[in-house]
Amino acid sequence: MNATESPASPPFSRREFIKSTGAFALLLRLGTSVAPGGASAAFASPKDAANYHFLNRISWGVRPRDMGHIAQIGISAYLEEQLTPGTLPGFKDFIAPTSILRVPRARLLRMKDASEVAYKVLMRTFVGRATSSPAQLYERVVEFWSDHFNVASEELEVDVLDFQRAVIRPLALGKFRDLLLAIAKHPAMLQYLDNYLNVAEHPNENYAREVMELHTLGVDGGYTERDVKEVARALTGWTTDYEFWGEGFHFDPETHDDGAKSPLGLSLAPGGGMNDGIAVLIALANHPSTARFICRKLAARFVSDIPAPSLVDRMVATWTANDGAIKPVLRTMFLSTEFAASVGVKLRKPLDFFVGALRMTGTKFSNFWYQDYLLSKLGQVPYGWGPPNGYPEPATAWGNANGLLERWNTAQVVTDDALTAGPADGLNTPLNARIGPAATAGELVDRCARQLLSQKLDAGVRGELIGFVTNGGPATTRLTRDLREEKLGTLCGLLLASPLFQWR
Amino acid sequence: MSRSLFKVPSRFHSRYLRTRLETQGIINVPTIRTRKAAPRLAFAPVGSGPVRDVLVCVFQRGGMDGLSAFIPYGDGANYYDARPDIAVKAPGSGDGSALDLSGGFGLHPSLAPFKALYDAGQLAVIRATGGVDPTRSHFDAMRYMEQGVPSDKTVSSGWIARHLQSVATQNTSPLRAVGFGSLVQASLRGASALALESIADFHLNGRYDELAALRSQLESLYQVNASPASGGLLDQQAKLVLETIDMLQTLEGTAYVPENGALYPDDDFAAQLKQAAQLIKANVGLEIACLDVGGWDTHETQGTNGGYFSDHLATFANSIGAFCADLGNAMSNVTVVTMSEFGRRVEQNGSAGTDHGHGNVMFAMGGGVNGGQMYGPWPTLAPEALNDGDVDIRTDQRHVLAELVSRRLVNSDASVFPNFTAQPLGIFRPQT
Repeated sequence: MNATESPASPPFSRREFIKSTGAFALLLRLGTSVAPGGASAAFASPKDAANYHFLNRISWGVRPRDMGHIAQIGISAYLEEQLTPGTLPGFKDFIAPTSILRVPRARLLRMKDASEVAYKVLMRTFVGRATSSPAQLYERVVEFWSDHFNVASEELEVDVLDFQRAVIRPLALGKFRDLLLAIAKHPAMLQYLDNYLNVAEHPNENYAREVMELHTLGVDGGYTERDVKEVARALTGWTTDYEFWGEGFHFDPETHDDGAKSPLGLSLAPGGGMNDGIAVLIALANHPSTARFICRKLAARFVSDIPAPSLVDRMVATWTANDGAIKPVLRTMFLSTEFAASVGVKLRKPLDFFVGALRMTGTKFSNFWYQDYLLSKLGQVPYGWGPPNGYPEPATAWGNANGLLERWNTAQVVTDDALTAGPADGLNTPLNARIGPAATAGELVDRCARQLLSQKLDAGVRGELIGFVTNGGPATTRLTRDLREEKLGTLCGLLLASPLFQWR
Repeated sequence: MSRSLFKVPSRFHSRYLRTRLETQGIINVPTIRTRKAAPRLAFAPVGSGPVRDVLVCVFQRGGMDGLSAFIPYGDGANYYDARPDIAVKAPGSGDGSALDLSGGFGLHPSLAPFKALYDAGQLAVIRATGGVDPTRSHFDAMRYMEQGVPSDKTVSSGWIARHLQSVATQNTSPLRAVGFGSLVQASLRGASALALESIADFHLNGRYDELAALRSQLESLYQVNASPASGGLLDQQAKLVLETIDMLQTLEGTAYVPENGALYPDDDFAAQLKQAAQLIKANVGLEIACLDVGGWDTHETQGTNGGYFSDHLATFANSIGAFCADLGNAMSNVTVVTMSEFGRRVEQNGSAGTDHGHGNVMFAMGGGVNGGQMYGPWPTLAPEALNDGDVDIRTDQRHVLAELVSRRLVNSDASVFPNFTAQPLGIFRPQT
């Protein structure tokens, strides 16, 4: 360490904490380390390991109390609880009722600073629900559909807020067809993909193309450029009700193309009006390509980036037998052998990482823009992806140098020791209390690993971290208050920065 | 709305948020970093092989409307009647007229910096070009273009990655290939490439007095010093992160001063180009820089004449113009090339915008470019010459890129564009 860079005043504040240096490393050559993929023999029993794997995928982070509950009732019963979120204790109260969430869209749009207000509510509710809701799987499925039916919030903040509460959230665990039809009529999607401007004289093909390519069939799902044009014609006149700012959706017979059409092998007679569009959307929802496209995407999100065809086949069969109902498909997926075997192969995306870190530490941001800044540096602001395909999924997209460095640095921010950080610095963390008392360095490392990762560290990693806490001493080194204060934040940050927390 | 697709929303722009947070005293990053220690890791000098250009590859995400950038005013009614609201006037028709390139073609007035480079012989126009697959899907078109192989979804590597892997060089710099942004461009997929958002931010944060130990622990957790090297995805990236931190330590990120009076616009794309210029001048082993500029998916209210498109195109051109000016004589060994996944339909749609099309325009710039010329045949906009209502493609984009790779990057390996016979158009001079 370069002495000339030392801070002038000894007690470190957040200002110095954040200060940058390119520190010289000790360049230790280490004989032991974590296996890529993060799996290690860290659990008391195979059952614990399976429980952890399941919880890690259906939630943003596995807390000790989650492990306790699943140990009592088992994976299958736990899944059923999660699939009926309304019955979960505390479900309605997990987030303070925010009055703006109840204000009708028409009134919201007239509010002063409506965009900024709605934006903040969107961010706060996303992070709040993801970190704290007991209905973790429900929130994960809501996020899945929000990515699948991506609508970027820029310039559409109020509409995206309404899109979430009126469409995505109520229908997330229902039938795909209902979701698709409601989305096609919502002003958020109508504006985002321009169908509100789709008129008989000059069709606008944007939504017609993306509803097939991205929302239903998939790009190889068997449609042609002619189908794009015909579907666009069928959806002419589906627009927004700007004048009254009422329900938002408006079918305008004047701008609807009422001629005969033949999209996707359908034969639509002249004069079908709004039923043309409904017929097209129902045909898309019922199409076998749609079942396969969505099931594969669900498996890529929750099982592995390249899911086994055998699993996708069974999910498609469940989908078909249940008329596109989501819950049975989730059941097939989460209770499959392919799922059970997929330990440690999914990389947390930046948002998974950030929210997970908050869930595990209990850290909360008192400065909204500080949180926003970190999310933007990590590269994944909720509802912040511009193109209509949603944030990319695979590890190969996100596992890059810039993203990894941001994770390391963010881990250090959110674990800053509660004893030295105050509300004025933008966040609070109860981490010190959560970790609880520890008499020795070894005990501290073990408690942190249990709190943040619900597991025992492998001996090599544990030894290195003990060496870090004690500056080279043994596990039995007595943990003084000063030593704890000095090391706790960085230690917890290291655990969240480690491969064990990136892979799940 | 859709014009804002393919663009990182400016409100999330971290530079803006940073200023806001610095004002509040929440974060504090010194503008000038005092340490100037020599890099701990050296990379082998590039000087052993032939001289190669630095390639700056710019991707315009969303499908730029080429007919609003490169104006075929000579097509007369076939152009003007199809675009009553968004056509650009022929040269010499008053305010907002095209800048004349002669022969019935012009550039949008927002491309004035390009016109100056063209006149100086440093910019070439490639017209009616693009990816030959007929897809009008953004995502398939981008995929085919960036992998450099059309109509094949089994390819997992990008064309630039295959160049990096096949060229004979001993450059071990972590900054050899940089993809600006939070995600690495698909053209770099398959090679070791660095995702870089900000030189000034590329360092470890943590408690000041624990930073050295923090780094050492991260090296351990990610097996950075393992022998043989770990094959894990994140382990490899961790090694790259730490090597890059050491390398960038010598640069003063935010204190960089452009030369030759170059004025970069206040814009994300411009900020990335400025950093590319900084890396080139710092001689840290940069061979490839990939940059994205979004915001081209103009389905509605396109604003070709004094509106959204016009402003956006001006920022684009001013950014690249500033980059070329900043580099000055160093441009003799830099090639900039621009592309977009497809052009847009000849006929405007009902919302004064344009839907997805096919053929487009590319620009190539640098000291090694035979500039001041247009390349490739022009199919015309006559109804019978259109490709399903769109500009036809008469020059497979791979001809342009393959010539660039062989002449300016001195690599003729067939793996870069497999199963393709390149026919040079004479856009680039061979390296001397």
